[in-house]
Amino acid sequence: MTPERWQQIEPLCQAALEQEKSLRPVFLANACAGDPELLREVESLLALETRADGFLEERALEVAARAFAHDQAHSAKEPLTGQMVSHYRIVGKIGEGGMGVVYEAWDERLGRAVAIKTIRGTEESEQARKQLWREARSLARVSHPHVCQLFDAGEDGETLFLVLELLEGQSLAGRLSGGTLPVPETVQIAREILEALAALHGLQIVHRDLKPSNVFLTPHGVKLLDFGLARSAAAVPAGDAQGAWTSATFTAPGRIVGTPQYMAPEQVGGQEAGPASDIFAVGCILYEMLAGRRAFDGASMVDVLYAVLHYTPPPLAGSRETEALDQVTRRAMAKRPQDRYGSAGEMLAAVSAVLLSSGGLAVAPNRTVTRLIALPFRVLRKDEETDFLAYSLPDAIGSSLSSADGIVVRSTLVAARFEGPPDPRRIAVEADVDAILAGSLMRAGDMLRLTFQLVEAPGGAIIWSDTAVVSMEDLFQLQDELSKRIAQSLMLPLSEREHRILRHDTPATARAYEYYLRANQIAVVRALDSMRLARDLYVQCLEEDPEYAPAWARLGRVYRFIEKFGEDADANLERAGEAFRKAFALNPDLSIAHNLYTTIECDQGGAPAAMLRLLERARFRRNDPDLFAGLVQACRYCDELEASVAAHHRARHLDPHVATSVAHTYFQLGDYRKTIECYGKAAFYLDCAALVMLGQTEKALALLRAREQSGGATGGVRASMQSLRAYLEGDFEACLRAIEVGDSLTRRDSEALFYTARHLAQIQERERAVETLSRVIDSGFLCASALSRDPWLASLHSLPAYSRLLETANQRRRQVHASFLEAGGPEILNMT
Amino acid sequence: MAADVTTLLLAWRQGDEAALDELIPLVYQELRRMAHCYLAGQRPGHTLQTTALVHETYLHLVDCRQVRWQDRSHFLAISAKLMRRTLVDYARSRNANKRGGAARPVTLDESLDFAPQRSADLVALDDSLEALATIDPRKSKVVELKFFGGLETSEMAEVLGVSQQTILRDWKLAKLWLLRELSRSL
Repeated sequence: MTPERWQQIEPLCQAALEQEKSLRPVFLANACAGDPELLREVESLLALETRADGFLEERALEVAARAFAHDQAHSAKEPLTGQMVSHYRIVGKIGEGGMGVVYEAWDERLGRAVAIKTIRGTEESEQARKQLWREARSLARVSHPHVCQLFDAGEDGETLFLVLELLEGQSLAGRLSGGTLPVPETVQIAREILEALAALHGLQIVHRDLKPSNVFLTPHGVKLLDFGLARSAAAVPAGDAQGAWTSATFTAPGRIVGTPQYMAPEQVGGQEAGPASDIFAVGCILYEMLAGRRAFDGASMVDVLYAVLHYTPPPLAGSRETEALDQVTRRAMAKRPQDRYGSAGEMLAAVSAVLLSSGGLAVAPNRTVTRLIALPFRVLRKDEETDFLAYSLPDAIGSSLSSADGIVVRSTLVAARFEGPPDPRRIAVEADVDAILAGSLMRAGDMLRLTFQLVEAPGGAIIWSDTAVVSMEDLFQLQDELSKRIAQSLMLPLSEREHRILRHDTPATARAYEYYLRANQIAVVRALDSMRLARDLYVQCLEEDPEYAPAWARLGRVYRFIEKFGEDADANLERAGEAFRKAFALNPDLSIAHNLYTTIECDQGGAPAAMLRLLERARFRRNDPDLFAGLVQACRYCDELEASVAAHHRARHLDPHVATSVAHTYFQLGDYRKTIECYGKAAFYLDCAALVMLGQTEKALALLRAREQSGGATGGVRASMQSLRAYLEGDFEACLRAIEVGDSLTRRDSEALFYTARHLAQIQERERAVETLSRVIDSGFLCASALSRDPWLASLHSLPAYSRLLETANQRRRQVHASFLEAGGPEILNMT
Repeated sequence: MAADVTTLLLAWRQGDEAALDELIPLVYQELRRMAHCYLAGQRPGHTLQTTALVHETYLHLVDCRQVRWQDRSHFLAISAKLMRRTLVDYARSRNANKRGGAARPVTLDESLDFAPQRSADLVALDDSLEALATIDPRKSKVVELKFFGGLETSEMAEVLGVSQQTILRDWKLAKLWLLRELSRSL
């Protein structure tokens, strides 16, 4: 409307208002003659006269004050049911806590049910709000199966609201009102709480208010609730910004809010709560689940606080598990933080160990294992001096991380298949992984420019990415940092022990690291020349840093290879053993050492020791595929053939691409089809031997001839192939000659000797066959099952010496089997 | 506080209109006090029932003898503008936070409270007042002085330099125009 038009309307309105209502229509009809639009304008205003009576009669200040009052009533007690908060429609109230109300709501945008937690504003709300937002942001980083997930957060007037995963089930507090919980359930709940805590602590988040009412039990397991929202609080200590624990409470320091029954002594004392305070609370919760009563209680708050500070709850009796768990609670509830478990991961291991020692592995809950692949880095500009890093840096990071239990690292052989830009979906399927480390590398003068990305698979979301410009001198520190960063990003619950191992995995000098990385790259090629070169580089590395355990372990592996190729066998096997012993002395926990040592230990007659060592480790390292691959061999040497197969399945479950020697186990079992099926692509002898057993002699012969010509095999393996070929060709003399040539080469390889003995039996050298089998058994390859079962040995059964041999083998087998059972082998290998 | 307000007013008289901004916290304080009364089921109190806060403050805190008459008129006009800005800002932030309708709009009278679709809030009123100012600035001013500033008819007549009769006529027609405007916008 223009002011001019209003100048016409306004006087007409005023005039009409001064008239009697009944006279207005006539007045207006005359006044607006010829301008129906003007008439409508005036009439539309006059029509509102009655309604306008009460309009604007209240002062603006009163209007605003009423709205203000409405808001306050609203946030104080009125349920929001039916109303919208942002794009969430409130369905109903679920509960109410000290700081706010929890509602069930419907997310109109995504079409899903959520929980909305409102936190009432306070007078000094600006500080509290900032704190709450910081907390919401840190929680937003958390995505863990046992943490109630934060979806969204927002502000609504003076109310901050958090949008959370809506949970089904009941709180642990509710569950505990019915008394104690069964031990398996207790253990599972404690483990899940600790898994969540380990992940949170890894993100520098301390819960600070763990108690049964904050532990929610859903059909899918535990969910932790109320991160620091239940209480308010203290600021991050000044000057400790980087390592500071995210403050999760919002009261003024020194003020105690809420139930103090699960509060650690240092919290009662007014100190800043840390991860150890959460461990204390888990101890209290665990105790309560077992005992059916609170660890610390009292008639008044003062009594409770006194108990927390000075009291020791009564010991628990009952089953062996209960006693063992009680021990765990003692350490967790130690008065001094430094006397408790060093981390949630450590306490988790302790709780899990209780379960294992009681043989209860069958009820152990499934755990999510993060599977990682570290791809070779892309070289952006070719450079001879540094290109080796493209392979060896991710390899070193991967093997360092494989010490952590929450992770399975795919082998570098698998990783080498995925060159070029990573396609997360393809890699996820083909390598069976959840996370991909990719990177690029470019030399610029004396510096290296590196980029890294940790990518979620198959989704492809970037978990983090970073760039670094470092000199070669700083590279080994970079590896350490990257390993830690990846562990943190993947929220691996690293125990103190694992942190220590990660730290141990870096050498003292840059030169040592460079030798190590170069050697690793060369040692990938399984050829005598490259192994010799790798050996020299490892030796140089160890001259630089004699304390670098991974280099010792890898040197041991290289010696073993050289020995296998038949070069100076005795001395090299000796050196291999020595190298591994050095590695163990430096770091008893080094995974690659444990896994690589197995073959040497078995060859040196120590298969039972190797088996027990690996079983012991497998109690705690349930997720190390290489460890189980080692068990395949160790168990076979101990004639625990079913266990060997079970170990293979476990290894393959963890890593479908891991190489195991299960084909040889199947051969011992007489399952020749499986032998062929499981035999690797780099085939030499075994598949041919199996083909013969299946009656496919011609095929076996053709393969053996072809392979001999291509010359891939050397040493004892070549001799075995030659002797088999000669036997199949009917040339027993040539067969025997090949065996004699091979004898010096395979002397230390008891399994190869076993195959030799079979050949001897077939060419009627029966005495010699028995004598060889005797050596096989003496050198630690028990083969009792095969002695009875193998058709090629049937001709020996009538010999008295053979019966004695069989008896010896069976007797040793019984001994080893007893120790296998004692070590909990069947449970550890999930054998039913 | 009294001293502060006097100082503020003197500063304002010397030409510093920005000094009045300092009154905003006082407005909020009064808002809270009144809200408390509503929540407790009481009327907010006689003293402020018909008179705007700033008006009241002015009368109580300023030694009137020191202030010339024109100053007073000028002060009342500015205080009304200040109240308008403060209260509309409050309503606007409140509405912004409650978008999606969780909050009841700030209704302008109780009779409209029962017909939410016809109710209007302070923000919409403010917008309409702006529109009214483009075609009839004086009527817009009358609403500002009375509704936001809480001025009496005689005071408005003084401020605007017109008769009280004109003020009453302006008020009546302005309400009709605003009501129609608000009904349209809803």
